[in-house]
Amino acid sequence: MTRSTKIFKYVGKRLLQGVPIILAIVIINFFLLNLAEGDAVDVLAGEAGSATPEYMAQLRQKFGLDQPLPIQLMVYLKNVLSLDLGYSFRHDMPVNELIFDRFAATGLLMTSTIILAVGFGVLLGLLAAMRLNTWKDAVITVFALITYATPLFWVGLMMIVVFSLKLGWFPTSGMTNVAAFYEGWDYVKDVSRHLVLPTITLSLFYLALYTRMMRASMLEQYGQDYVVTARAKGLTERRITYVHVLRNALLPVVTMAGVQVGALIGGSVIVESVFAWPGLGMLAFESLFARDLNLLLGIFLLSSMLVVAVNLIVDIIYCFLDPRIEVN
Amino acid sequence: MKQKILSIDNLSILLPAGADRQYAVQHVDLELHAGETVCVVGESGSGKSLTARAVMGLLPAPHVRVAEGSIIFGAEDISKVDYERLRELRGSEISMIFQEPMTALNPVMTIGNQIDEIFRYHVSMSAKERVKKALSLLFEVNLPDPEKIIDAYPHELSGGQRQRSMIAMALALGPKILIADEPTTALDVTTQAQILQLIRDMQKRLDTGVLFITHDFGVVADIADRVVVMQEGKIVETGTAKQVLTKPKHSYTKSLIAAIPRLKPRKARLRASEVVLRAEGVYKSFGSGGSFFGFGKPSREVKAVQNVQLELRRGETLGVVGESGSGKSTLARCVIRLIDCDQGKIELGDVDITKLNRNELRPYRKRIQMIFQDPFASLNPRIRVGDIISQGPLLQGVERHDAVNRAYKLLDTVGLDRRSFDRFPHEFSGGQRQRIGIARALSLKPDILVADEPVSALDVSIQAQILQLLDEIRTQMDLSMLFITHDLRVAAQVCDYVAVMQHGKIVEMGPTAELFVAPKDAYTKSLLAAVPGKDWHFSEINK
Amino acid sequence: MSDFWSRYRRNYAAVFGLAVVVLILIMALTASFLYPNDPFRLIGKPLSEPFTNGFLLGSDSLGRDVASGIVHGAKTSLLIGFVATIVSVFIGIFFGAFAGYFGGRVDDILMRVTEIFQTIPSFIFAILLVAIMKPSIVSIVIAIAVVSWPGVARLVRGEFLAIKNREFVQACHTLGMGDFRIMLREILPNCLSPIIVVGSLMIATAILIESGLAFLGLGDPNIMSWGFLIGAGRTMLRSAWWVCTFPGVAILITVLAINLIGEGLNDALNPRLKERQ
Repeated sequence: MTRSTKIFKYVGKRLLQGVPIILAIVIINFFLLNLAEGDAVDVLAGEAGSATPEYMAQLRQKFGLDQPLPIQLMVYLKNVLSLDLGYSFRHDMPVNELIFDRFAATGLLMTSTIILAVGFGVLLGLLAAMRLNTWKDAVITVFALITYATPLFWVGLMMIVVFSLKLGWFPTSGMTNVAAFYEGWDYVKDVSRHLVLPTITLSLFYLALYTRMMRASMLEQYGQDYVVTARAKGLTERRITYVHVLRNALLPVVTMAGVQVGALIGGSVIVESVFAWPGLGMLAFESLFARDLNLLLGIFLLSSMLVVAVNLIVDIIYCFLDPRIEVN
Repeated sequence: MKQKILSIDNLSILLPAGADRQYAVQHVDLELHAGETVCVVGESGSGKSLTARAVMGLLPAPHVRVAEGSIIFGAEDISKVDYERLRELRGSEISMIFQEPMTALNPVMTIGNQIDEIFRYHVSMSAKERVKKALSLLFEVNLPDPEKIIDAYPHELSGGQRQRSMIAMALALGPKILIADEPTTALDVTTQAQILQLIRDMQKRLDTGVLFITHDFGVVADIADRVVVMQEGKIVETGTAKQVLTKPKHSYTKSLIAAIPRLKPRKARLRASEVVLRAEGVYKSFGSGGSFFGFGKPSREVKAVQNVQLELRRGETLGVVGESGSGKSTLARCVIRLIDCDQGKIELGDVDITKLNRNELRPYRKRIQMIFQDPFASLNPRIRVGDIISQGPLLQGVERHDAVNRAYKLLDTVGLDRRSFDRFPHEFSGGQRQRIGIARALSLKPDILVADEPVSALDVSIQAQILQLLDEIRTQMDLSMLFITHDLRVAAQVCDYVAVMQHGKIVEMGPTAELFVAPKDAYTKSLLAAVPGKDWHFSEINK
Repeated sequence: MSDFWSRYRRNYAAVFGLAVVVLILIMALTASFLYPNDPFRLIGKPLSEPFTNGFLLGSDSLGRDVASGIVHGAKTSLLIGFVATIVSVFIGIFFGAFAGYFGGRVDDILMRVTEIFQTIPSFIFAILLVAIMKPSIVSIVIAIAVVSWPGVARLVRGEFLAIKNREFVQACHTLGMGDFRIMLREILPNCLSPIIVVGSLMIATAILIESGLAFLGLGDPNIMSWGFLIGAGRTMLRSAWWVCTFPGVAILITVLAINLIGEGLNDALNPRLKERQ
């Protein structure tokens, strides 16, 4: 069997493995819904009080709340699979539409954050490992230690205090300048300016994480036998570092990048609410305030699926980086 | 004598502060000529590997460094040349192969690329030429299907193939010196014989001087022209292979050579009629991968043990020999029911223990006990030696007072101080730990001992002591022993009967004395032929 | 033990971390002595700058003392961090030990469950749990524990998998020792070091999660915490920077100190790892 068909089969298998995970998350969602006070319809209708009694009754019937639990679960599953996540009275919109509306903003923030955190993390970790026990290593290590210990929201607030309020370099909140109605290239520039602080804030913690990992991973790989072989072959230290050690050292970092996506989404709730970035995290924060539990559950469900998808992508990337991955 | 290519004079290598001795290597003098093989022999910690690495300038800097002396190659002193010159020499003039080819190769780079690098960093050749040269190298080291191997990753090759690839790499530019650091220790004996042959052939063709590091005098007998014996960082004896092997002068060399198990089979003792252990039609296979959620059939199946019959009689030692993957360890674990066999009977006396459940099995456990291979893994580091030895009897319902007394007596039996009782395993050396393991196995007063490679992790002098201890205990306690080993020399020394396993099956079985002298099966023959230093052994036997 | 301390002591940063944590602990324990007033009480002029109006670190918009809030909040943060970690370490050990030791289908099922909990974005899950159970110390501890255990489970499983095949465990089988005794007495003590290291780092993470929850308004409304102070102060960021800044510094220092301890423990408990570097 050739390598490409092996990878193809592997991807198929991983896709299949994603199914029970998503199913399980839907079920957890269902039980969380049931755990909340009142029956599901109270939750579904929100505590807005804006739902009419007729609508409530209609909902109860639709969700079969007079039926036993397993049947309710089946109904819920069916609804979720047809992308029907209920209705948000706060926003007067179906939950799924609301989520898809906000998805792009979060996607943008996450992408820029991952690029920044992984990119710079790898770079700094590499630098620290190569300059082991010099002042550069010390500075990087201390920087990583401190950012690793700083709460996200606090970084965000301090960024606003320093870079927006005191220096006035970047806007304090939002994604666009609402008053300006930019178009084309100006719009892109405007969004970029708004993106800077949230991205840096969300990146810092992960930047520290990847820096530490990369440094440790490089040091571990430097101690491996194949490095001695490479030296014995008369290769230059450059070649040894950038070709032999780097590629092996990247493997655990890539794995970690996949694992951290879930945490990144969690972090975006805080960062988005600090910077009023109109993404899913902000939506989650709003729904928390409005006690719109159903919306919150919808966001939870979708972000879980996002993690499953990203993990799959990371696994495929890993497959190409590490030839040892076997189909079994 | 041919041209001298390497001369090490008065070399001392300094260890970092806090190491168990100040110098790893002290006042070492060594010469190597073109086309010659010099073996550096010693036990672990003798400094033989560091000497070899110093020649490549590969000492683990900055902690370990050359303190004095010179390593003259051509007109240069390698220990003093600058980095760039050192880099030029490595891989082109002096190259090296290592013990464990799996870890010595970069796991995420193809064999072809790893060979290609050598050309790219030492000579200028077009890409096409480099591929051609790499293919011809792989062909020269007798790798099947070089076109395929050039694109293969290390994990896709067997151990022998990996070492062949390493040799191809090392000899790519026809170096003057090849340093081989225990290159066959991790390999099976038949593969070892092939790799040694390959090194010899290549050496002849290229007129390379080979500096061969080994702990195995058998290997020395097979390939060495001259021998250097090291002990604790110092050279204790040098001479031609013949001199050192047949007329060693230094007492350490004498004791080392005396400790080597000879391929001279022991005479079988009178066979008792009582059968203490019988295995009949034992099968065991392992599945791997493919199952989803634990359901469904595994995609691959390894038949580890197939239709094995054995009979162990009172007081005898039955050896099970074979290479890695032959199923000998699986068989041992089936016999002692660490794993359940798929089919077949294992009878202790007249009870088939395969049918017993855990509780029913417990009283039979004490009749059959095991000695393990790795003295560092076989003792729980968190439990005191006394408790390790006495916990078995306690579990079997012996009073604490009696169990403790028994443990003290066993410490005497295995030759350890009684004060060891309150110590933790990490305070002991490998050989002492193996003694503790033996005491634990004896604590339940078993009839049968299953010994799974009990000496293969030990240095040769310690090996001899443990084998002697096992022999004494066996006689003293009238024990029967199932002795698993890959080393035919060890088997020859301790076993009355031998069973040879290959691919899960016993291919030949018989009294050691007969089987080793007149093997019938082709595989047994090839195993015996591959034993390092065989000619030397037999010349001694005939003496 | 003295051996352990002499190894730990070699890492100065870790000793420093330990000293800081001890100081914070003393601060937390003597909170009602240092600031006898309820930290929620309005005791002075609102929005006083630090060092004015008798406020060491200023006051918030309602005239509550920020310094008092920090001292009293220390108790909450440390308590939640510690208890949540203990709970999740126990869950993790339970899952990991059974999965690793028994393998096969038990392992498959337990690890799939772990995988699911690891896939779920943990902070959002924690938000949901607290929101549904209503914010209180107990619900916060439960939420943090529920989202934190999978890491421990994976670690413990890995250790059990590796150790159960070690020869000393096989020797226990041949002596006729039972499974639970082997798990508890033979294997578990050998994987305590990594568990302790991970556990100490988890306390830091738990404190961060708790502060994040409190910041979003999901703290226990009756108990002062650092996150609560920041959450309450963020709306007045323009006029009163100090309300947010000082609690943040407190969190930073605490988490940093605990992380340093964790690294020190790692060096001291796994000396071999350190030597390799």
